[in-house]
Amino acid sequence: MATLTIDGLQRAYPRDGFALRGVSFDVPDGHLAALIGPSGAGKSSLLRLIAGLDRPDAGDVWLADRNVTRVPAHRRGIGLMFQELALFPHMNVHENVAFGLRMARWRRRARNERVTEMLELVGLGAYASRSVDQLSGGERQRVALARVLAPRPEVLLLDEPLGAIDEERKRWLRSELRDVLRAVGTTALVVSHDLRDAIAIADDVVLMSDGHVLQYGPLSLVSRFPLTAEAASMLGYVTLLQGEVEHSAVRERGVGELGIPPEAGISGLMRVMAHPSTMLAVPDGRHLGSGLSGVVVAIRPDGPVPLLDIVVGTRHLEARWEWDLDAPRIGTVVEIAVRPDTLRFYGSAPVVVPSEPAVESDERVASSNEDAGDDEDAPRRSLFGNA
Amino acid sequence: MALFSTPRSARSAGERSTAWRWVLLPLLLLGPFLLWPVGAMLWRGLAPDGYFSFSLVEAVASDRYYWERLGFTVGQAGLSTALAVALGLPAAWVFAQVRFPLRGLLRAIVTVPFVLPTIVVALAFERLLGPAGWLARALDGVGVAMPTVEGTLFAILVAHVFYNVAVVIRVVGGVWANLDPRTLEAAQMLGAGRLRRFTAVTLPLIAPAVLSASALVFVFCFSSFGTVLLLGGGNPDLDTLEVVIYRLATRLVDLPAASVIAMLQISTTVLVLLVYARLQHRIARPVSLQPHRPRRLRDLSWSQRAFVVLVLLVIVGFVVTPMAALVEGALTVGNEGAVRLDNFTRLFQDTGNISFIPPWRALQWSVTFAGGAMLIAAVVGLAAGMAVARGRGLLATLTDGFLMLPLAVPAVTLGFGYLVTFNREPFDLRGSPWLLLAAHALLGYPFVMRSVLGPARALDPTLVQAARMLGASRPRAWLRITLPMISRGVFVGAAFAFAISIGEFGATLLLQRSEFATVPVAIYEALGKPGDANLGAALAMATVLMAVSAAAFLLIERVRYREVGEF
Amino acid sequence: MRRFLMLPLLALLSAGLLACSSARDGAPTELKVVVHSSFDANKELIAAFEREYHAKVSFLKGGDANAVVNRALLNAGHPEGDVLYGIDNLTYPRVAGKGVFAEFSATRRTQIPADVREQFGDARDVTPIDYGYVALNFDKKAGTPPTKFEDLTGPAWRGKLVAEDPATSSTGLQFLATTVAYFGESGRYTWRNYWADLKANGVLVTDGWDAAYNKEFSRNKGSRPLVVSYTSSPAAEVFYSEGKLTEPPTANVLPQGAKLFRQVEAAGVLAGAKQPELGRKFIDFMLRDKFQEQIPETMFVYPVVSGIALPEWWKWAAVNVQPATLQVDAPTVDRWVREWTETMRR
Repeated sequence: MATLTIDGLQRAYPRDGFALRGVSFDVPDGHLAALIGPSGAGKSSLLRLIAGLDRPDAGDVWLADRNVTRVPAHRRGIGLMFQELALFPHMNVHENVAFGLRMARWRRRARNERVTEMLELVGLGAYASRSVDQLSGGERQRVALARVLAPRPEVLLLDEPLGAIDEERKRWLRSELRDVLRAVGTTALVVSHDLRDAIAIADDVVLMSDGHVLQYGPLSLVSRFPLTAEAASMLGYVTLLQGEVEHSAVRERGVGELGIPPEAGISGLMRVMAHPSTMLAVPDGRHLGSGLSGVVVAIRPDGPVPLLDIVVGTRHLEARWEWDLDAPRIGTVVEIAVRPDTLRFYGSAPVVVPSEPAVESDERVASSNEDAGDDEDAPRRSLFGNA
Repeated sequence: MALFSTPRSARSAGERSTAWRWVLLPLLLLGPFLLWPVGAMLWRGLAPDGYFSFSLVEAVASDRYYWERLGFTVGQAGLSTALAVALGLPAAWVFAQVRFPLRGLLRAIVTVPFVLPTIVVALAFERLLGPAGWLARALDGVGVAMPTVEGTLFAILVAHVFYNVAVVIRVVGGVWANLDPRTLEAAQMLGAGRLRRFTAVTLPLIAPAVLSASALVFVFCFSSFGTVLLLGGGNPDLDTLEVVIYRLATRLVDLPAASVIAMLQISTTVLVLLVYARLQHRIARPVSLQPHRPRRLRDLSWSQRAFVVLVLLVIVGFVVTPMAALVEGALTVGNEGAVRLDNFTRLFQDTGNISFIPPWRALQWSVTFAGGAMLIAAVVGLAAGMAVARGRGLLATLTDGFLMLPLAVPAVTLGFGYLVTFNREPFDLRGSPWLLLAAHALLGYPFVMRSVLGPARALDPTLVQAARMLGASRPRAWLRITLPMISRGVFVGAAFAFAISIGEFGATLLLQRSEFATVPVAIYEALGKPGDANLGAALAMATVLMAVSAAAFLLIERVRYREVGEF
Repeated sequence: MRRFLMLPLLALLSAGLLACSSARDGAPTELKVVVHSSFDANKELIAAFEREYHAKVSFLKGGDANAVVNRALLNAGHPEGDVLYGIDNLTYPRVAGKGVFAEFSATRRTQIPADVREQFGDARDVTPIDYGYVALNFDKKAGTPPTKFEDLTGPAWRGKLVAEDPATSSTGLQFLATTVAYFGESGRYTWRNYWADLKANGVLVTDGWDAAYNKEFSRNKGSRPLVVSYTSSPAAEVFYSEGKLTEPPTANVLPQGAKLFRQVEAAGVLAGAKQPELGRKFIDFMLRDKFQEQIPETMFVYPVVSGIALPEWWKWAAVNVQPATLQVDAPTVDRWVREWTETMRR
């Protein structure tokens, strides 16, 4: 187990008209990091460079204090689980899992014990002699996981481990994956295009876009304080307004205006973003909102608290109706209330972040944005925040 | 993800029952053009008085000589196969995985030996390895004496490898090129070095293809005939069973003995093919084939580049130099050492004799016959492949072996069989181009069958079921879904069928009408007379044949869109 | 699938049509002449025959003399063609009395020398057309040729000779006959002893003439300066050099005291032929002066009709040879081949 440090990795892919441009970040020893980005961001390419399957044009990969950039893939001690799984079609489940152990010259008894242990861990204890082409997608996924874990790699790379799984199964596979990875305790980097995977699994998050890292750090921190508008939208933030800041308010023609806390001390052309989980729809005319109002165009029942699709001027927003009243009809006007401390402002100038709280980098906060939304009296405060 | 990941359980019982229908088409060709004539010929030999005479079999069985010949035949075929695989595997890797300049052309050229008449190959080797050949002169330059190659097992092995290395390269290369590279990368990530990756992952995955290629090469070398006659230097220790049969049948006219030995050859070959089919069935796995671009030279490590260069040098040395020796001969024979095109222009000079074969006409007939044989072979081979792929268990294995029969039957037996069966009206087909076409197709379709078998077995049956659910009739679903997915296999096999037909077969076996003279016939015609002009013309004609064949292979390669094939 | 079934059916159908179409009115009658692979003739001459008899002559090549005769035997009564050309005096005994040929006496039969006709026992079913001699050819570059057959078993000629297998090549068979005639069948030193010595002295045996001459003969990049070929081969070298050579690069070797076996090639109308009449006309035609005159330069053998003028360059071929006289019948030839095979191959 070791800290994985990526230092200025560069590589051009001229045929695809794409390049990795100096990627740097680290995953501390024993941490679980999620590498998030839209498809085409270079996540898989980066993973191949870290794994040693491709050579970088420049930059280094460090495992603890060992520079492994020139070490061939099979001697790096890194495990990689492919998006396509790449199970060996000519071997059964047991043989697949035992492969890495054989390569590491484990003795047979130890090997068999380890394989059994791994298969138990992923819940496939009874499948050892099955042929891999008889397995379901989820079972194959778990065989691949057991296989990559078996030789105890120092660092684990997982490329879209939940990619090919249907939404229903994904939910519990996510937690299962997290449990397994935590049980093993390896430093791991999980690639996903789906933020929810990261939220469910990871301690740290690395945001990538177009061949470079936008931001990385503890998930709790990054998700609350995205450094750029791009990072923010990757984390699910939506734009409320884009306009000039004047007199403690932001205005955009055709959309509306939003009051902001005066202590923020910002001015100029700003883009105001917020996470939907911090936004509530409130009845019109009661002055509970933050200054934005719009027309309900769709109502989606989602448990006891429905979700509303609201058209605010030229924008489409989504907000919960956490109000002990019947949901508004389509076509009625509602106001939107946002907790002012969750508003994020991005200008063309260097990013301004209001009052970043000091969070120790190794302080793990397992909570997610959704958890934050459940914060005891937060909604009420926001409702009246700038009335 | 996986192109051909077939859950075995997904095959439905309904499909299995169609296997027998597919056998009908091959039977239509096999019945009249193989089973009947060969059966008639063997019966004539084995039952000269109308009833089967066991004493004949006894007489042959008690003769040590024939058993020695069988032993030698098996031995040399095994050695040749091992050598062809040893040389072909690295070459298959290079052609499948690496892009280098002239790759397509070189691959086409490597297949060219397949079409060359044996006598031409013998001439090429003489000009290369003979006492006055290139190698001897080169060795002489450094003061080393050239060892005698002629009449040694070595000469025969070299020729067999020359002929057959293309089978290994194409058959194995087709699968190798499409192995999912991630499978190998996964092995590497699990700590497997280059050697372990090859032995533990690549080899098991390409093993079915290697086995296929080996079986074909083995059967070819087992029934090797012209090569042994021409390069064996008359050494009786090098006679194969096929040569023994030929001698017995053609000069000694000992048809009974020839028939018994023909039976011996057929049964040995069929046995080998059955073992092969069984093995094949056991080790074949639905492999996910993933077409991907081969790597560029500059993406390879230095050691890999060195390896590529080495392999290409060996291939060029083995396959290209003998052909270069022919071209050199065509350009210099009769010109007192000067390089001139005289021999080529002479091809077009009408001697005024009936032996003059206009080269365009010869080419035209060669291509017509080869094209026709290729078409029939493609259709029949497709059906044969479907039949075996849809069949199950022992019956499928037996069908497989049965459909490979054309490669097991000695040429002389088949040729004589045609003579004695197609000799009555209205089926007097002797000297008819149709008989020639049928014979060529007969030898060509096993190649198509083998190359269709892989994709057909790996085909996901749910695709066809999906098409049927969308309203396609069974034939339509086959035409729209199955055929396009296995068509690549058809193309690979068709190339070989074309090559076999355009080569020498038929020039000596069957009656050749002079108006249908093909290029090999023209070559034989020229070599039948003394004098530089004739030798030069033969070499020039051989050069033309090589050029046309290489062009045809390049063309066929263009047509097929992916290289997947089991063989 | 039904579409695919059609293909072979169509093929069969067309084959049938092809077979039947020959008898249509107005179209020339097709004459099928089965010939061995070395047959050749002037095209104009054949065309003249076709015009004269409103015929279309097809030549069917079926391998060497041996193969052609074997096929005729296998097909006795159901011949592949109407006329067969290429049977010779060594292969004839095998078909004699087997009903392969139909009796026919050519118009100019009497102009064929009696001793030539005698090679076939003056049988009426075949007509001699040409004859030639198999001889040793020597590559002049290699110094002085041997003078007698016995030289060839000595160390000076070790590994220098290439011969053809009599089991597969008619050239080889004729040379075997020459050695039989020279060394004899009985006595202290028979032809079998001679061949055993040749084998011990490294004679190379090829399957056919083409490989021996084109591949092994030192004239053509081979290693052996002595080849079993024809007395006409040196002349042919000059003829086919197209003016580049004024003298042959090879020479005939006529060992002292040796008589050469004379190969006489003949033609016959096949029993059961569809066009027997036209076939007889064709054989008559082959004996006409015009046809006989072109035989030396198309097939490099002697015309059989007495008094035919030979071309100028034929002087390189015209050697003074004494034909060996051998009484042969089918069992004898078979026995030679079998014994030779046993001597050389086992």
